Amino acid sequence: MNAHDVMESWVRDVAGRLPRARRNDVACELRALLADELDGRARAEGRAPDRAMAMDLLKGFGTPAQAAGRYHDQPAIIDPTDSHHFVIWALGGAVVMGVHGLLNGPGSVDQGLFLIWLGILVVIFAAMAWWRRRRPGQMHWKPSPGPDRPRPALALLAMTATLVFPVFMYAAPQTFVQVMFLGQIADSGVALTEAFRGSWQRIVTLALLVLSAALYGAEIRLGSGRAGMRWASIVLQAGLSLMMLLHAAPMITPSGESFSPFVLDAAITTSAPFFRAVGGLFILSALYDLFRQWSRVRPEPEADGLAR
Amino acid sequence: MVERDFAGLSELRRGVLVLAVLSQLRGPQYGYSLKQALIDRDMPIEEGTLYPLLRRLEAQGLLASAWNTDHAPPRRYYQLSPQGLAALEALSKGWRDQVRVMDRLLDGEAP
Repeated sequence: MNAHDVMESWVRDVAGRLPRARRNDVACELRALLADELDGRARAEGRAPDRAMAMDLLKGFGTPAQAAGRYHDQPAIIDPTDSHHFVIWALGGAVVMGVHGLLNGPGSVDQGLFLIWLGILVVIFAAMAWWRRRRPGQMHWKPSPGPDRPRPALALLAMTATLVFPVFMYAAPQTFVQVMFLGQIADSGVALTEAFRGSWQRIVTLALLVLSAALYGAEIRLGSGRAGMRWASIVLQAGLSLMMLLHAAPMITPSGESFSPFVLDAAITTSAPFFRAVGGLFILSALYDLFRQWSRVRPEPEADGLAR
Repeated sequence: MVERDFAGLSELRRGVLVLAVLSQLRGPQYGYSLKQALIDRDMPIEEGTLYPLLRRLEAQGLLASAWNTDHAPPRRYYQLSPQGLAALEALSKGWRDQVRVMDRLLDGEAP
């Protein structure tokens, strides 16, 4: 390859990366410019241009990809400013799949599911980036009150809902069914076994549920900005996830006898996946709150930040 | 520290690149002749930066260009558009104001 061939190859590679409408025009200009540059060098060095001289000249222009990038801004499929959120969503999906696989066996998660999840994220983030480029003013920033804003009405609603559903439902399932369905549905399906009624598993679960409701009560009075309450919530969720998972499998009395929460076999079979799913949701919720706690913006500077 | 100083100088030069290029395009120039004109005036610009910059300024409407095929090889000539001329005047004024401000800052004059 002589100097001309080298330059022609470079021009071809640059032009191939440009939109078709601009390709020939830029290529023609680059050819002329490179020829001028090479002539200038040859004159300055007092010798005929050769391949080495052409290669050295092209170094100054960068690789064809870099040169093409300067002629035509290629929009990124995912905005660089979205990279952080993309990674978080991708990892979040991986964690959900990991927890699902952990609870239901590795075979329960399709091996291609993570790739599908990544594909969905790419499409969503690419659409967001495209929309932002198309309508720059429409997705502008809006101020938000932040996670520590007191929401007493929401906390009251959460406390009431926790007392009615999980607490009441768990403490007296038969009464709960009678009240909820006005006695129209038989409650024998949720009858508890004697072993379960007095089990420590039931007492601990009930205590954790009541503490959850109490935590919402504390939030009404004190707000949600206290670190102690956030950690208490994480611990409660972790504890509840463990207890729910215990409910999904046969439990053991101190004397070594196996027992289940419900009397009827059909209720045991039906409730096991439900307990597993609720346990999984508590794990995910605890992990999410842990992540939020870890990534929390703190009001005071960090110690090494002060030293710098 | 020395490297940082050089990076700072590069930033400084990059900031005035557009103004330098516009200032030399009151009359028609093709890429290589423009580069030589800038070198002759102690304003060397990397070729990989200059030539795409001409296209970008043209896309912004500041330059007009046309192929001249009377000579071999054919060359694309660039010149200030009316909009580019107005931009040159505005940028020149901005630059001179900035130089005055910077001189005051560097000389430590009271406001």
